[in-house]
Amino acid sequence: MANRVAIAGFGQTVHAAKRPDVSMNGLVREAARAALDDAGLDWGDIDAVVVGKAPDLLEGVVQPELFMAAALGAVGKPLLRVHTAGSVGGSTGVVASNLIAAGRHERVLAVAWEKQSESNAMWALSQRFPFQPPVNGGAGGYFAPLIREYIHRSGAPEHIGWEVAAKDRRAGARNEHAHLRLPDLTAAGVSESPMLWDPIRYLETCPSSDGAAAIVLTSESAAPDEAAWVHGMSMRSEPLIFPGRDQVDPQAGRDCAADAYAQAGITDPLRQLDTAEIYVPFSWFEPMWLENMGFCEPGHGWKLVDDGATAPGGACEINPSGGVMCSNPIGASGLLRFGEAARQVRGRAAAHQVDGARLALGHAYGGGSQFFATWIVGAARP
Amino acid sequence: MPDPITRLVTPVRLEFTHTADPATATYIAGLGDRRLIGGRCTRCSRVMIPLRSVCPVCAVGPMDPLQLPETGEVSTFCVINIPFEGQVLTPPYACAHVTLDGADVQLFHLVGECPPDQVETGMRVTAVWNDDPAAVGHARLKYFKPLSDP
Amino acid sequence: MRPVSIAGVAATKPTQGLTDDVALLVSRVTASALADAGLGRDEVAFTCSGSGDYIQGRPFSFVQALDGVGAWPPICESHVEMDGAWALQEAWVHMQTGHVDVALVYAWGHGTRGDAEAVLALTHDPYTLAPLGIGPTDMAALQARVLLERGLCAREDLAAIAARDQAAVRGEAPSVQALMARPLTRDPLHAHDIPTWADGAAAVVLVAGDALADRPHRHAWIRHLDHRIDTHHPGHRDLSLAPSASAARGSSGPVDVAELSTGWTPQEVVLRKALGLDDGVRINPSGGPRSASIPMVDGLRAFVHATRSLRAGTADRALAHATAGPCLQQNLVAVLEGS
Repeated sequence: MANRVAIAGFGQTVHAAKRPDVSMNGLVREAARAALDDAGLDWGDIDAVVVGKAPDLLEGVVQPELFMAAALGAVGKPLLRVHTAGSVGGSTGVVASNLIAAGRHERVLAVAWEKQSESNAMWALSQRFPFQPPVNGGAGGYFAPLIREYIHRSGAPEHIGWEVAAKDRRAGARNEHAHLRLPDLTAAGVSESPMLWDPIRYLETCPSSDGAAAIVLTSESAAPDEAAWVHGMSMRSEPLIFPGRDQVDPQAGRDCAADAYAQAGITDPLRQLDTAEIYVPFSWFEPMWLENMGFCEPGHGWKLVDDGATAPGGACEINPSGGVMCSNPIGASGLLRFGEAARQVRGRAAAHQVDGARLALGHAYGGGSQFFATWIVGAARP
Repeated sequence: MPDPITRLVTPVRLEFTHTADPATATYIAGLGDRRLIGGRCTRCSRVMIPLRSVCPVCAVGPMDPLQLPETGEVSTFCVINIPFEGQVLTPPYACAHVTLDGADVQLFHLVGECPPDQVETGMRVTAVWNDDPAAVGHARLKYFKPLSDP
Repeated sequence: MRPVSIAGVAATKPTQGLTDDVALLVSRVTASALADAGLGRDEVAFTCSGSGDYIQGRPFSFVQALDGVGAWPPICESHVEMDGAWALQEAWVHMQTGHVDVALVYAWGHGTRGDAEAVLALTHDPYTLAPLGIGPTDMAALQARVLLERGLCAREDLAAIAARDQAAVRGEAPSVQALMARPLTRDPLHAHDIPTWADGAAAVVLVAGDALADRPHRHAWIRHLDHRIDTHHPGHRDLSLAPSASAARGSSGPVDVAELSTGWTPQEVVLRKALGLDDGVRINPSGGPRSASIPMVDGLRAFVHATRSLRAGTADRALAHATAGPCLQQNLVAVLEGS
């Protein structure tokens, strides 16, 4: 049956709009080297490598992990490449963990990355396909109507989105790896930024970043003393369009969280979790995902924000790293959430450490809010 | 000594031939005739638009083609304020999820002949067709406009 | 190791110019595999697929497939940007954790939608190789040149491989002389050495051995499953060898047949040696992927063909192989045994 999975190391790059100082190889090695150093290990200690990233058109290279095999330290080893849209960083963590849980390997390196400055994002993501309606507007145009629906259903006041955006950017200023670091941003400042896709404003929108994240996972026998431990992990998917679909509160997200909670013995996430890193690309997703993951009743997520429950010092600080709102290398973002959660419970989150964090959640989503991956990590062995 | 090369531009050009499946072709041909063709699943009886070859819930097909009314309701929307490549309308304009009468899913499409700040959830709309012979495929369904009758 | 069997298989007849309807393609092939296994969609605990955005000519192309798999209520599902054989590997690992008893694996590819050769040319190192404009057939030609110049094979040997595979598909074997008489396409390769791209899909149902014991299955047991990768750059490798294939083969024992993902004939010469397949092993009784190569699917089809050989009783132990990257850079090897 399943073995325990330990998180021995986490590393990431400095995220930026463009990283012209490194090649793709250099970018992933920066994160992987940091993870190996954090784990006290070297390339030769790794048994297998799992790579995750978003569409290859973003770098203009087909299956880039093939040409990067040597840079990834994977020569002579098993190498797997996961692609599950925006949730891929998370599913990379789950797939890599399964290799340990299955007893297949002792030490696995999970790497997730994106260097979209190499290619043309417009070309990569917004081609005009025949037989498809000419309604595009990027991710913002897709999610803005869903956010409007959430606001309509919940009666949330408009400042909620501004508060989350300001909170996350101020948090990013305490994170030396974050792309956007705005220590003085206020909700008022967010409200004054241009409206892009009503109701989403410019400062409520995540950046586009080059970056990478890496995690070293080990078996129990190979785990270092200060490892974090996987208490639960899950993945769920649902189709994009079908009768009865609720894109604002997707069933796949609910089921994914419920599965991880059941494994970890969590019945009251708001109280039992010390912190959570969740995938918030537009600020309103914070209250939406909190409801979706059962932190509160439907319609009440915005109150958690308004009451300060998700801010530093609150009942459960959300995205102490600044989250996707501060750094969004698409393929890596999910693994950054997973890794930041692990670093919190190991007490290694530096200036953005949540005091005494011992149980944390990492969450990623992708596609039209249809792919979800979640893990729960703790300081104690499960 | 020349500076080291740090950037290399290698243009990529790839051509793909996309072929519509029969269900999509039926839908697009219907647009040419000013008809909105959806499909009813033979197992769960739910109605989707555009017509699909497989019901995503039941994973079975084909679906029975069904012409839907041109009218429906806005279930949610956003207002696009920024320019981007391939835009059909000039910002600001609204895009809406439209639940056509009788459909169990929404169509995401442009809203026209309506100031964006007057678009509302629950608003009744009707399809507007593009009769320009040069308009092909999806372009034949120009946008949805407010229905004057309540 | 928890024993896992292949309980159901299906593959579409390869074709050219298949329409864009991935949902229907996947719906049919997965329904076939499940019917073959005697299982319903609701009995599947984990679903995993393989495909490629660039092959499909659109980003996030795998999203369309979900509509054909019955992902409602939500399912535990994953996807690899690799041949479906690696999706099978991911599913197999998931089953080893004990949490999954039944897994559905599928893969699809439209090799004729774009120029597969041009697309796969972009698999090469973008800084040093891609600007040369070389594709997988150029690389295979390079590999063939190495083999010929070292006396590891003769041109007639490559033609004989092609003739054998053609005979398996068409029923009649062209003569080696007739093949060799035709012009060279990419010296030293002729058209008969090079795959014809095709479109299609395959699906496999895996069942953990200890589960569903009350149901009869025609099992093909997975006795060995491993994969490795070599370095990418051709200048850093000996192209007459495939160390990752040898490592993935390990000491998995003798086999009667081998289904190899050898679109290009020189690959078989390299793999015979790398996988330790002596003359007694029948290679590609299915004909292999040369007559119809479906990117991202050929490896999973090898599992389908190997399973069918075991069920037909024409083999007791079969090897299934998948590959990726130029000149057999990455290799997956499985050994299946009939029950």
